[in-house]
Parts: sequence; structure tokens; C-alpha cells
Amino acid sequence: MNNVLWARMHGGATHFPIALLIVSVFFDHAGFWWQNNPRRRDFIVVGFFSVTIAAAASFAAVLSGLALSQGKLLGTGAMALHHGFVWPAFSVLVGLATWRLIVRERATRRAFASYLVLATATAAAMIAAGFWGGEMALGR
Amino acid sequence: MKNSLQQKGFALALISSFAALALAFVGAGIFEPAKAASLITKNKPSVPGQSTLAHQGRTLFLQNCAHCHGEDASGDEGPDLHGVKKTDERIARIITNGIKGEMPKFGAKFSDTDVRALTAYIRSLVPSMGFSPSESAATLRPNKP
Repeated sequence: MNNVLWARMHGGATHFPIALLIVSVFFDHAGFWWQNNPRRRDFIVVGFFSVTIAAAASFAAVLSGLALSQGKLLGTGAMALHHGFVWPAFSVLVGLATWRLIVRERATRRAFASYLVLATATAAAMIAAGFWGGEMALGR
Repeated sequence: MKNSLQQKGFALALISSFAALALAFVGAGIFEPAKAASLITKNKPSVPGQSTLAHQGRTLFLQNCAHCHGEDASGDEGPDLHGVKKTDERIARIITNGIKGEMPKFGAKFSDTDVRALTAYIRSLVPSMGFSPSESAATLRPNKP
């Protein structure tokens, strides 16, 4: 397939997991800290579905990215920085979504707090990966 | 009960994390061009002297351009830069302003010195002649009278 098509597919596909993970972390934090809010459970549900869909969408982003870079796992310069954040973020995101799918709403507060710390770090890594991806695609 | 479920979830999360990475590595193998093709390099990587402007250009090139033009500048997604038939001004203008729909602009990222260094590096790239060393030796041998 044409590289321009892969570039457009990757550009489109990457924004879903980035945005959904940020949304998930935001609502999970709201559900965690805002304990007396009657909508607390709704916040956690939004966080759950967002992270699950983000993980599913991340496969499309990763595969289109690999096709675009012709299978480069690291590369050089901006691409190395992009991949340096992508691989940990992708791997941990899939793990986080799996944990949420299994535990659902039965997590202890301590376990959910640990999850939130990891999810926030993953979102930060995902944003960094997006930044370096943008540097490659757009220059300045 | 909750703890055992969380532990089970943690174990499965760990497995799925590694499985996702393994899938990415397998995917990389699928999308990687044939190894044989990569062994036949069209152009040897050009490494200019340590103190030259071109050497600074090469460092910038590897950080910002190699993912499209290839580490040896022999082309990947972007074109081969060996033996470019454009003036230095034109090369500098392309780096600064980009090419719409093809190449991003780097005008705000690179200083004038950076652009000059990159231009010098591109100028230092010797075009490939496309023949083997033995053939080239035969070609370069002076004709007998």
C-alpha cells in the first residue's frame, strides 16, 4: 500500500487511543477523588469504557505505524524518541485495559489508586509519543 | 475474594502487556522490507570529517530527517539525496519551507546555521554509480593506446 495512505491512516488512528486514554484518566480521577458525588459510579464507567476502547484502538495505531515505518522498532532521531515512548505506553495500556476488564468495579481503593498512578504515567507517555510523532510529521 | 481477583487480573494484565509487545515485534517483521534487499545498499553512509559543517549537518540529519530519507540518505519514504541537482539556495528553501503535502517545513526549528550545515551535508553525499568495486576499477583503468 502507498506510504501516503499509511501516513494518513496512522495520523487518524493514533488520535483515538491518545484522546480516549486522557478521557479515561480524567474520569477515573474524578470518580476516585469525588467520592460523595452521586455521579461517581458514572465517572468510573466512562473511565472503564474509554480505556478499553483506547486499548483496542491502539492496535490499529501500532500496526499502521509499523507499516508506515516499514517495520522499524526504534529508528533514529525523532523516530527513536517517538518509539521510545510508544512501546512502553502501548504495552502498559493493553495491560491496564486487561486489568480493568477482569476486575471491573471490584477493585479495592488501594489497587485502584495504583492503577490510576500507572494510567496517568501511561497517558503522559502517550502524549510524549504523540508529540514526537507530530515533530516527525509536521516539522515546525 | 477481591484480592485474589486483583492478583488474577494483575497476572493477566502482565501477560497481555507482553503479548501486545510480542505482536508488535512480529508485525515489525512482517512490514520490514526483505533482509536481502537491505543488504544491497545503494550508497555507503557518508561520514564527513568531525569538525566540518557537513558533520554538524549529518547529526541534524540523523535526528530530524533520517526517518524519511533513510539513515544513509539513500531514500525511504522521502527521496534519495545523493547527487541532488539543486542549488544550495533551493535546498535551503526546501528545508525551511517544506514541500506542500510531501515534506514538513523546518524553518522555525532550524537556525540559518543549521540549514547551512544540512545543505553542506547533502552536498557531501556522493551519488552512487550503481556498479561493483571491481567493475569500477575496470572502468577507471586508463585505456591502452
